[in-house]
Amino acid sequence: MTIVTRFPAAVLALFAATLFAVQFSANPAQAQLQIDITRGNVDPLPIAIGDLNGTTPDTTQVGRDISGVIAANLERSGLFRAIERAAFIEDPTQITLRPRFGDWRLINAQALVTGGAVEEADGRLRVEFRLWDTFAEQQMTGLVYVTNPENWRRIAHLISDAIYKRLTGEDGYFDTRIVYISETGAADKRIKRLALMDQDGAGHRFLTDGKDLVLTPRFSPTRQEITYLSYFGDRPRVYIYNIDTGQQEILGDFPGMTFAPRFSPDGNRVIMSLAVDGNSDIYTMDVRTRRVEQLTRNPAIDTSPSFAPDGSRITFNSDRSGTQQIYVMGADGDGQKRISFGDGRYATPVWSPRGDLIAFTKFRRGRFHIGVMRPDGTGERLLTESFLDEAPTWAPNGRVIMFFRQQPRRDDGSGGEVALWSVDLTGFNERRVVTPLDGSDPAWSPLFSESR
Amino acid sequence: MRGAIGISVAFHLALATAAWTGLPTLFQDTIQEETPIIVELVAIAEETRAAPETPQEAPKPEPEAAKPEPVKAEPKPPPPPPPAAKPAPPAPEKVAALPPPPKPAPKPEAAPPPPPETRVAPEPPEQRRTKIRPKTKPEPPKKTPRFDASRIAVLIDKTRKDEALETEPDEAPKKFLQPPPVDDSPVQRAAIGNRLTISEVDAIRYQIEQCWNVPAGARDARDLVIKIRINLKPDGSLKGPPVILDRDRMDDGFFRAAAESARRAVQRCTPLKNLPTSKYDRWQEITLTFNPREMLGG
Repeated sequence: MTIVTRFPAAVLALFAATLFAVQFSANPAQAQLQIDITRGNVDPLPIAIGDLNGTTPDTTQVGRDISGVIAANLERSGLFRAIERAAFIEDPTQITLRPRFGDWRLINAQALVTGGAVEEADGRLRVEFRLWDTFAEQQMTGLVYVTNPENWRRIAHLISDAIYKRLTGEDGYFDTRIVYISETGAADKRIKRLALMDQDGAGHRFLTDGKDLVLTPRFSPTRQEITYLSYFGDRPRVYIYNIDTGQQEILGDFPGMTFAPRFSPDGNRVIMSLAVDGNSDIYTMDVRTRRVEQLTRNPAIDTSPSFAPDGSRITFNSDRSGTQQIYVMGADGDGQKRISFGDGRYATPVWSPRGDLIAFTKFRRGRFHIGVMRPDGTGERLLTESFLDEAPTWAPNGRVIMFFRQQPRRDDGSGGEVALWSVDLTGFNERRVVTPLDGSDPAWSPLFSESR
Repeated sequence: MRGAIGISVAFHLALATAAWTGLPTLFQDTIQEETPIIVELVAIAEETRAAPETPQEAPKPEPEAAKPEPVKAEPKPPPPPPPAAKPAPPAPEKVAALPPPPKPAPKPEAAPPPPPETRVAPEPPEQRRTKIRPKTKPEPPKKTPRFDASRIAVLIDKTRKDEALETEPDEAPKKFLQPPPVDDSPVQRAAIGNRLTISEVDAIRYQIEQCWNVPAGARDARDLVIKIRINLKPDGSLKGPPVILDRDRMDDGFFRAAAESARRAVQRCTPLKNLPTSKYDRWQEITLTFNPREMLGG
């Protein structure tokens, strides 16, 4: 019996202990409040871009022009929204020291650009700008440029790049140019000329006269040089064109037909496909020694090769599996491996300058797409869709892709226009790139400032 | 046997008593997912919740001490002025860094004193708040003119935006804003009042998410996890500048851009609204973790 009396007591004690344990264990020392923010909006960042403050009528005009170019650049990126000047409370040209940040927050500007343009004693233009964080009330960056006044557009692009880089962490791509094939005339008598323009369409000029057919222009990643194909008679030749000097030289006369020449990342070699006896394979040629090296030996058609930015690998197009697919191999041709396995055909692979993706053209169920996938073939995403989208080229920061789009040709012979388009890597911000005539086969230059 | 019966009765009584007192609590505990009360009570005892001023003043020194850091960051750069002399390079375009503060001299003077004034003094923030509000309304958040905490799921889910707009949010907010009764009865306060419920955490989260412009498309954006610590006043405004943790990563342009976007989100969205003042000591210091992974699809 004594055992019995003790038992409930023990049980009670245990019970009580358990209760307390529950109470206490459920009350750990309270940590500071932690909150995870996993969503936000992807609206463009509102930025106020004031006119740069000039001291004379000339510099005032330049200051206004520069900020206009900056605003257009940033808006075109799709990541920024330039706030209407009419909304400004504080006159940005009157800011001498620090802006009245409250006034800028009031109009919802998250960043503010101020600056000035002065003509120096030697006639050169001195442009300075500051980028302000209106909430932290701090200067985020500030730079001074001195240049020939004619170069004001480049200053505007450099400033745009600096702002873009500071606010996104990513290199900009505004101080760049586009080379493309300008097209005009009837379908059977198409005149194709090599044309060059700034990334925003300014400074457009033709590099060839249109007598010879030109194809597939590509920028050197390191110099202001373009490689392209031009037909001499019925045979395409690979040319190199120096933009600064206007000099053209023939890279070489090859035994067969050459296609899709493109520079290696160091600019010292050109990689292309050569058709010998009806079979095309991938070759490289050293620009200086003209030594040719064959990388693939396959009875199928291997073409449109493109180097990875570190030069260690090459992606190319082959129909060795029966349909056009994308392959990756080592820089010496070893380890050839197919990476595209989706539904449809894949062509024109281009390795991103930042190395993380390969852009391609995809044909599937009667429609064309520009898409991207990782170099191992995973993560395929289609960014565009139309009757005909083709020939992707990357902005130097690997963030924007330009390509050309052709409208369907109607029975009466109308239609069939081709135009340049660009799209953000996210698939948003698809927009037409305005050119004087029709345009196709664009190639984006490296950053101007880094290629000389 | 009588003894046994007595023992049995005693045992059953004891058990019943234990069940009577214990089970409800046990039951409550299982329901309550959030952190419990007792520690809260201890905290209250120690710091007298009735007078939030005292705890508030105590932490103050820290934020203030911390404040100089961000500010210092500005003065430091001034040294760069030398680069301004760089304009020598022969290239067609010369580039020189502009020293951050317009004028080094005025800055150092102005910088240290003003920030404390504008940011710590209770008045300016208020002015700022009232000023900003009218503009904040026209902003995107405008879509949901009234914040209804009880319908957060609907509000957050953009696909159901319409639904959120259709409903009349007038009723719910009242429920939400009813911490006062809690104060009336200490017992109730102990039980429920002094902890932030999930919906209140969501309220903070929702407000900040509305203000955050995600740095989309950056390379390896999924690794850009930003932690920011904020200290709030009872009115929901910032006690000092938000502190970006992990500052040694600020050299990385991607991280810095992302961190600053997160900081702007906090600064845009404060004062935070609809926070129960009765639970001030729970939300006066918050660590926010900004992680865009979900949005950018990894």
